Amino acid sequence: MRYPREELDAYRKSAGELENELIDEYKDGHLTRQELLRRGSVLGISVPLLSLVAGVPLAAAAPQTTGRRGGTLRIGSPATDGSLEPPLLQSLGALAVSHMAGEQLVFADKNSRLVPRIATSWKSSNRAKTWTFQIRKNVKFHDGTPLTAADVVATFKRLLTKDSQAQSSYKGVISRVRQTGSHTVVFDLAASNGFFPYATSQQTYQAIILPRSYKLPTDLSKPGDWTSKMNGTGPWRLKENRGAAGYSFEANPTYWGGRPAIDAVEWQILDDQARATGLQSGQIDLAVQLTYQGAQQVGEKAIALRTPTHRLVHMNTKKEPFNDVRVRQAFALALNRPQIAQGLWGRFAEVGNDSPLWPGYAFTDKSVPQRKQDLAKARALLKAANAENLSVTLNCYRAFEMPDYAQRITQALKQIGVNATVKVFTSGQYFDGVSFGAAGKLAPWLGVDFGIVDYGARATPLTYLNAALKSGGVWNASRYTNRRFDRMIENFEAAPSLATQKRFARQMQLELLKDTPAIYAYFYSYIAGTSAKVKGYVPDGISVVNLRGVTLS
Amino acid sequence: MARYTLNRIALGLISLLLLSMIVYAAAQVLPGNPGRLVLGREATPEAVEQFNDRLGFNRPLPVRYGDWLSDAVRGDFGANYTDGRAVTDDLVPALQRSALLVFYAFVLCVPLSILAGVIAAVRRGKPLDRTITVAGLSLAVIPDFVLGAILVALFGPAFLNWFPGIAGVLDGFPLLTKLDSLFLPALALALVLFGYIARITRAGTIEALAADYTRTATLKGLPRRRVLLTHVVRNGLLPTVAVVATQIGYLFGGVVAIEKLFGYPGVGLLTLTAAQLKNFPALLAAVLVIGILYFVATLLGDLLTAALNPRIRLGAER
Repeated sequence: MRYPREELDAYRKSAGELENELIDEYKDGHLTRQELLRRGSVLGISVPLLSLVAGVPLAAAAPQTTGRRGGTLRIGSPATDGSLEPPLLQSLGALAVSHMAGEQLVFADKNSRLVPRIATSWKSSNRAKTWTFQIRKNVKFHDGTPLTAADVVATFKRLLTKDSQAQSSYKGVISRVRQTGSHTVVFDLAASNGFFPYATSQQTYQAIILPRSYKLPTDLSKPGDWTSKMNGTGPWRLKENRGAAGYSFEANPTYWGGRPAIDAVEWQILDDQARATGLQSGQIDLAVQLTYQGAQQVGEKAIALRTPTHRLVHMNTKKEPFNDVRVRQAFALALNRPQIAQGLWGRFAEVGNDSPLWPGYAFTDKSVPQRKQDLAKARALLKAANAENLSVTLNCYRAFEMPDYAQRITQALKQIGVNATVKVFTSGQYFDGVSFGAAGKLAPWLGVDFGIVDYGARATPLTYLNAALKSGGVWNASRYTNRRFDRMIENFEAAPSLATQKRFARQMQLELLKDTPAIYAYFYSYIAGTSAKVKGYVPDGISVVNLRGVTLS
Repeated sequence: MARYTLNRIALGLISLLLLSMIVYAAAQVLPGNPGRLVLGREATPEAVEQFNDRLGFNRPLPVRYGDWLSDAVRGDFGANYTDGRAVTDDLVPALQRSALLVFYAFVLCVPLSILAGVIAAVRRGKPLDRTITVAGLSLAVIPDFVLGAILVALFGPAFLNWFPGIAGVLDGFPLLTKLDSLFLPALALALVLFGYIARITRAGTIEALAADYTRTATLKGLPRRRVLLTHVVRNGLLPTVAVVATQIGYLFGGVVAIEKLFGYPGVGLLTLTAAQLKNFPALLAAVLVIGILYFVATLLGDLLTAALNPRIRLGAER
């Protein structure tokens, strides 16, 4: 038997640079225990080892089941508008259903800690350019087929093809995925990435591990493999797919994590209003997502999870009038952010500071000065830019609070003499086209000069940075080109320690405030709702319904 | 009568054919690209193009329509674009659910509105008549979803908590649960129809009250109750019967907002969702089926009217 100190020393000898950097940071007092746990989980360090580092026992992230077993949970969820096939997932309702039967390599919990699922452990090498995942043994798909590393490799190779919806997460990030043992998978990355394990979590919700025999449906006259059988490895087996009338799931008795405490799940499709009313009247036990109005309606039954979900208001930096930074700054200064956030989301929103670096991220520098409404300065900037009496059109699509937000922006702009009108698209119109870098007609949400779009919760801001703000990013509607900023993103991504991440995060925050390619006025919480009989439910910012540890009273 | 019936059926079939053409053409100009909607924002243009090709979007419209129609008349409405499941797998249960809701609304509405119409006619010009007429008119002009929202706010969990605020999927539940959950949506539909049916009944009853046969019966010394039941109501309800029959079709087509509000997956909600997702096969099938129901209900109403009123029948045969 070894003493704890010897155990730790032995680990440090075998560990890579990132792991040792983390341990040193904690020992030097630069990290809190919470940050140690979060970062340690990303680097694949086990909780017992992190406890050794901390010198005190640290709780495991997995919830413990309490209360009685059995019963049927009734869930109300938004419509599954879009395919249920994992590589094609794109809507909240569809991903929530598909994640009942499927699961991914890891799961990011409410504190952004990574919890093992199909992967039992992971570690980086080659300065975080290579990541090795150990795959759990004795995992079976619902049809009884054992899961191996080959299934994991096939899943990721499929996600790298042109038909997948995960290209914005993996294209240019994963160079190669290979199997090096019956239960070992190696990802070779294009660049150092200290956050990569997050990309295998529900943050990229298409990455449900599927059997290697799975094929994307080509014959549209028949349901796809997944839609009809949902042959995943998750704790819930599909019993019946009734389409618009919902889904029935039953507990998977052979689940590697043990049979779920609840026997069955009845999944109903209900719109926003009906979910709130259904929860209130006791006809459903769990509402997958509630609007602000719904949350107000159900009162204490609402559960909020602070997330980096936000609306991005882009301005085309390559075209008049937004090619003048003073105009962009003036627009940003016209907004009364606390008032807008309060009006749209009440207590469920927090003010943004014109960068996607959410205050809830450990690496975000909270000392960066908050941008506040300053109408006099905004008018002066417009005058200096010779851009008085501007007329602009603000574009958005009909979803959530976006049309309302657009109206509030136009009212704010009127105060600085800008005549703004709102154009509201349907979702189908707004996204009908390709992203930057692909051949074909550009989608209107990227083509318009001034527009609003929604970004869902991510445990790291890499998608927000790489896709929406990096030069040539696939969703860079602002056409923002700043090589210095690009390098900041790359440095941030490769940063070995939290201190370094913080340094580059601060640089990015300041650079975005200066250049203002986009307005980030608020972040808002993910709101779910449960009745009093549901015990232990913790919502997920992406909308995955994680019922591990949940019981019914 | 047989000739009249055949004429009406022929006219109805032509109407259905025209309806299917209009809906098919209108569906093509709905905003959005089906391939993009199904395959997502990140799909390549080639993949989207291939998808649309497989669906036949690049073939001429009349050819596509002809193929669709020949399948539809055989009961094959194709598969959903979104998940590949047969359209009928969703449509048939949705129709059954809507039928239950519509039937429930009729059970609530018809006896009540006929009674109110007769009372209003008998008490013509009196405060009770005015109350029934004004209430009926007021209810008829309020959209059903507004009435539904008011009923939920009043009788739902937020205030009195007498009834559930949503219906949800009720397949497999006991009948009593279904009736309890569907009470508010059925009542919302019933209240909208109340004014219309009550007014028609009132008009028919007033006409019957002024008719010679009523005067003769009264002068013969028959008791007032018997005059009313045997001569007035029996004759005065003829237009009501026809109107009630035609309302079946109206209700099937008009339950969209109510089904959405109460989260009840009937044929109305199916139509709305299909239109939003550009799921043409489901949209076309749902609209066509609603059209058929409307046609059958109207035909039934016409035949009833003709059977009860020989002048119409004779007019048609001349």
